[in-house]
Amino acid sequence: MSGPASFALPTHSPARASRIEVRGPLAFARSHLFPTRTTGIATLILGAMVAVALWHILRWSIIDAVWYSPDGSAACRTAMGACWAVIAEKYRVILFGTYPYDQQWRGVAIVAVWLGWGVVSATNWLAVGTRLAGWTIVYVGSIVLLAGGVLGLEPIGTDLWGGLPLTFVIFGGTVAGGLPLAVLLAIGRRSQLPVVRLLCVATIEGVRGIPLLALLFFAALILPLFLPPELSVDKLIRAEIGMIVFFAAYAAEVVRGGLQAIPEGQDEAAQALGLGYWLRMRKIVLPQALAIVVPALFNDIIRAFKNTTFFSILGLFDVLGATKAALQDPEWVRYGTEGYLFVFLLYFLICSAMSRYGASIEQDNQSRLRRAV
Amino acid sequence: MGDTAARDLVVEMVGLNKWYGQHHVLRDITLGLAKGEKMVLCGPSGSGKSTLIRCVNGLEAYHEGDLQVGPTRLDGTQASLATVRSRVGMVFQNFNLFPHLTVLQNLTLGAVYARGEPEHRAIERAHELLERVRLSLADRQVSGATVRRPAPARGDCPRADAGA
Ligand SMILES: Nc1ncnc2c1ncn2[C@@H]1O[C@H](COP(=O)(O)OP(=O)(O)OP(=O)(O)O)[C@@H](O)[C@H]1O
Ligand SMILES: [Mg+2]
Repeated sequence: MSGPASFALPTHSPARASRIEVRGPLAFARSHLFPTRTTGIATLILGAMVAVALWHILRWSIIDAVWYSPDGSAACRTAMGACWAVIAEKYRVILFGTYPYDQQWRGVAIVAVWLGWGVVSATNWLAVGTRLAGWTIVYVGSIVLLAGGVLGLEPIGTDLWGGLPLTFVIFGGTVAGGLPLAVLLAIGRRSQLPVVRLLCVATIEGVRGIPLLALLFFAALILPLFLPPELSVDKLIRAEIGMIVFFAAYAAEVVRGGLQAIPEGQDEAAQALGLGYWLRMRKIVLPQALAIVVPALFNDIIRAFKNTTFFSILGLFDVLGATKAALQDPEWVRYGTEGYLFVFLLYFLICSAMSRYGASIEQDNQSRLRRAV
Repeated sequence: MGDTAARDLVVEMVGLNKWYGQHHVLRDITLGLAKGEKMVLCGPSGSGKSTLIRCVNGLEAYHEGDLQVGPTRLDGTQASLATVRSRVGMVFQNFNLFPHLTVLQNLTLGAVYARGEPEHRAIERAHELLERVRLSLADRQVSGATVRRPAPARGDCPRADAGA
């Protein structure tokens, strides 16, 4: 009785070189850029066009550019290239708006702490709870520092807040207030109680149906006309509430998608253990649902950051509003392109950093999910 | 089913009936399970075994009849559900382990949060139960067939009077 041949023990074969084409720049160029004659010609033509474009951009933005113009914009007027001197001249207004000049160190501190904690909390060195607690402290600290009035800091009204610190504070408030509200709206929309469900559906659908700008105009400019004067709330806070509700309406649907993706058995198993509704939500359903929707949530979060620019239309001096104001200086008004390019770059850098932040949270979640099943 | 007091029943069903829409799944089920007794429920797929067991810890509501677990009558009130669920362990047909928690957290969650046991006690007991299913927390990768082993351990965690 001999065993079937197909079950023979494996013998060791000697290692052979792979026949897959070796990677490397030359191999890549051959297979992707010059695989056939026509493609090769197209590559050359397109390559030449890109090179010319790059050369022009390089000449305008670097070689012929004016970096420093000590007496007004005189040096810029004769130059062929970009006038980056406008940034050197106006960067304090762009970055800190109308915030009192001698107090702008507070703004520097706020931006530094946000960036610093952003980097630290994007890693998994600290527990999630610690990271969130840190953000809460950073956020509350920023508002206290901007407002002053304690610890011997000169009090400064919200009408003078501006620039990057204001943008950060608007954005932070939107996410900090909007995410919990979104979770509540999503849970409410799946509730067994008809009144709760109806209320949540009406809020989500109603808010999603109006443009953000209309909502902000209503909150900032029209609402105070109807409210009695003793109920007057700061314009910044009114607009912020508009931002929060808008964010929450969109994010609620994202969270609901996550809730639907969790198998019913998870909640049942938690029920069988005797956990109550809110404990099941907090310990079993939400952690899994939120982990699933991190990519989509970061979509909304990044959009919320860019939506802070709407505040410039309300007469508040977020980065874009401050830039607009700074470039109204007749001396520099011709160099708006350079000013706005700088602001684009600033937004682009911050938003890309947030993308990376989201990606790192995703990775962290994945390694945690892989642990059990 | 005989005298309840004499046989010391932990689960007792009398004339239990349940419908899914027009589908009559549980028909006049009357049975009793005494302390220490083991019971095997057999039947073809779709005959209602899972449904019957899910009734015992209130995951499904029944429509007619009477169901008593230990001293508690399962009448659908939150109070009765809470008491029964903290005493009845259950292993699901497809396990439903919590993938975002560690094996140990899977085993201690109910004890700590539903029954308020101190965490160290819950961990101790979880280790005993894992011992019984021959799983050690030293195995960092729990995969394949081993995945199902914590399931009966979690089901057992309530110091079950009745095992489903
Ligand atoms: N939520 C539900 N809604 C409607 N019908 C259901 C539901 N759950 C189960 N059923 C039906 O009730 C019957 C009994 O289902 P049950 O899951 O109890 O069977 P089972 O005996 O456990 O089967 P198996 O051996 O395949 O696990 C089946 O016909 C099933 O289709
Ligand atoms: Mg079944």
